[in-house]
Amino acid sequence: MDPAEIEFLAEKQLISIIPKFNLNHTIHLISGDIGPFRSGIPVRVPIWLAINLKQRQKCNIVVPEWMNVETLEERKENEKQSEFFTKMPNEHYMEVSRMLFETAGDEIQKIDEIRTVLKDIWDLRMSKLKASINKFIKSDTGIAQLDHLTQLEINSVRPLLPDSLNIISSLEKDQDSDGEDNSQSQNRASSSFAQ
Amino acid sequence: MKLCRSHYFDLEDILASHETMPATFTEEVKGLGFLDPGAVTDNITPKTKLELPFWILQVLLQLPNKPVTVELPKAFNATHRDIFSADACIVDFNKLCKFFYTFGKILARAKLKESPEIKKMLVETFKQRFRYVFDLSQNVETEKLASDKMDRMERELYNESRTAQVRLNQWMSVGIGTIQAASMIVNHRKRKLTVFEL
Amino acid sequence: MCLEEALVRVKKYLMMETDSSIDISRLLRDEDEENISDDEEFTAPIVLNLIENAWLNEKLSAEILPHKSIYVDAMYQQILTMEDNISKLPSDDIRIDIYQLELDRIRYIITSYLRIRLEKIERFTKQILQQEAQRSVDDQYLSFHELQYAKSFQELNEKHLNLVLKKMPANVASLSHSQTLIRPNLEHFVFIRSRVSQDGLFIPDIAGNEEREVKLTENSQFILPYNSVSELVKNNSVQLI
Repeated sequence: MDPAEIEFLAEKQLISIIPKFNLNHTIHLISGDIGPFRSGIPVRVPIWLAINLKQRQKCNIVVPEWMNVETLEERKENEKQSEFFTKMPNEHYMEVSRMLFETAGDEIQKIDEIRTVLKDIWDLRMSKLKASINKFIKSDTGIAQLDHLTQLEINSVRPLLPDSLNIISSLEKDQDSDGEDNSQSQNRASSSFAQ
Repeated sequence: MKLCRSHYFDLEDILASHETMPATFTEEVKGLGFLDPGAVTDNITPKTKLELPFWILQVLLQLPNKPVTVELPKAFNATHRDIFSADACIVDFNKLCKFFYTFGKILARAKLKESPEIKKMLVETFKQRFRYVFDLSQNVETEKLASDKMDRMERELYNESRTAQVRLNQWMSVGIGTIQAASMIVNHRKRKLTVFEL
Repeated sequence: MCLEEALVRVKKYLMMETDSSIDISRLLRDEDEENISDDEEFTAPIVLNLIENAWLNEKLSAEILPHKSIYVDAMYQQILTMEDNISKLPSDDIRIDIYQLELDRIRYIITSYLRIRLEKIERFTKQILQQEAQRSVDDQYLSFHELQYAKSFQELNEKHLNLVLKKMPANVASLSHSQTLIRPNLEHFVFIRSRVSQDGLFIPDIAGNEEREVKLTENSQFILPYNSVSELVKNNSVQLI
C-alpha cells in the first residue's frame, strides 16, 4: 500500500475548525451531515475538508488535544518504558500531524518541538518493530500479535515482512499444499518429450 | 511480489530449472551429441561427464534405462552446506548460484537422497541472510546496488522493500500531492477524437 | 434518473426478494430528507464504510472476495443523485466544491476497488470461473458484469493461445488443464484486525506442523497466513489492514 492511500483513510477523521464564513444549510454529505457554518463558531468536519477550507483561507483549524508537547512527551516515556507497543493517541498520528504541519503550521504552537517528539516516538516504535521482526523471522512461529501498531507503521514493513514469511513457508513445504507432487518443471518436461 | 502459486508459465521457475548439475553418462544416448562440445559423433558416448541444465536431466532420468547419474550442483554439495551453516552471510550467490532458493526448492522437492538436508539448509540460510537484506533495504542513503551477493529472490525482495522505503521517506518529508488521474486517462478522450477526425 | 427508477433498477439487479435489513429507499436518500437514525438500516455512511472495508480487503488479499455490488451500485446511484443536486445549485455556491471533493474521494475508492477485482479476474480467470460455477446462486463471488467479463476474457485468451500453439511442433501443440491453471497463493501472510472475540482459531507454525490456538479479541491485531482467516475475512469478523 502507498502511504498516500493510508493518508487518504486518515483524512476521514473528524477535526474541529473555526469557519470564516456563514452557511445556513446543513450539508448532507454521503459520509454524514456537517454544518451549518457560523463564522467564529467551531464545527466538526472531516480532515479532508478542513485541509481544503484552510488552504482556501476559509477557516482556521483547531489543533487536536493530543498534539501538544507535554502529552506527547508523556507518551514517549510510556513507549520507552514498555516492552510492547503502547496505544497511540490517534490511530493515524503521523498522517494527521504531517497534514496539519503542512497546512496549518501557523496555528500550531511550539511546532518544532512537537515535530521532534513525534519523530522520536516514531523512531522508537520503528526500532522496536525491526527488532521484533528479526526475532520473529528467526523463530518458527507462524503468527505474531501486534496490537496498537498503526496502519502506517504496519505498512512500513510491507512487502518485506509478509513476503519473507511467504518465502520461508514455501521453502518449508515438501510439496504444493494440495498434494501436487509434480513440480512445474516436471509438468513442462513431460509434455515436451511425450512420445 | 507475486501472490500466485508456481505455475507452468512461471518465468522464475523456468529460469531456475536451467541451473546446471554435473552428470555422468552410463550408456550411449543417440542424437544428443550436440550437448557435448567434445563429441565426435551425433551421440553421447558412455562415461562422458557433462554439466547439464536440470530440465534436460529431469527428462533423461525419466527414461527407462536411466542413462545418466547426477551429482548435486556445486552450491548444494556437502562442502557448501557446511559453509552456509557456519556463516551464510558471506556467500556471494550472485556468483555461486543466481537462482539459489528457487532451484534449491526444486531440488528439495525432487525426492533426492539429500532433499531433506537441502530443505533445512535453504530455510536456515534465508533466515540468516534476512537481516542483511533487511538492513540494506532500509538504508536508502546509499545508491541502489547494481550487483551484490544476493540471489534473484533476495534481490527482488530487496528492490521492492527499498522502493517502499523510499516512498515512505518521500511522503514523510514532503507529503504527496493529490492522487491524480493518470495522464493516459486524461488524454484518452482527446486521442479518440483525433482518430475519428482522420 | 428519479428515485423510483433507481429503486426498481437496484431491486431488479438483486433478482431476489429485498433483504429486509437493507432499506433501499434509505440508500437513495434525497437532499431534503431529515437525518435518519442509523440503527439497523444501511444508511449511506454505513454503506460507504462497508465499501471502504471491502476495498482494503480486496487490495490486501490474493484471492477474489465475494462481490459487494449491492453497495457499489447503491453508492453509484447516490453519486448520480448528488451530481444532479450539484448541477441545480448556483455556480458560486461554496457547497459545490465540498460536494465535489467528496464525490472525487468516493469515485476513487469505487474505481480502485473494481480495478483491483478486474486485475484478479484477469490473472486467475480459469480458476475463478471454475470455482464460481460450483457456487450457489446466493453465494456468487463475481457480479453479473464481472462474470461476463471473465467469460469473454477467457474465450479471447484461449483463442489467442491456440493460435500460437498451432504453430508449435505436434507434441506441444496443446496445453493440458493443469498447465494453464494459475492459482493464487492462499497461504500468504496478512495483517488483520479483529472485530470480534473468538476462540478456537488454530494457526500452524511456519513449517506447517504444530498448531497453536489463538484467541482473537476485539481490536487485536495479528500477522498470520491468509487461509487461516479467509472465512473470517469474508464474513467481516476480521479486517485486513
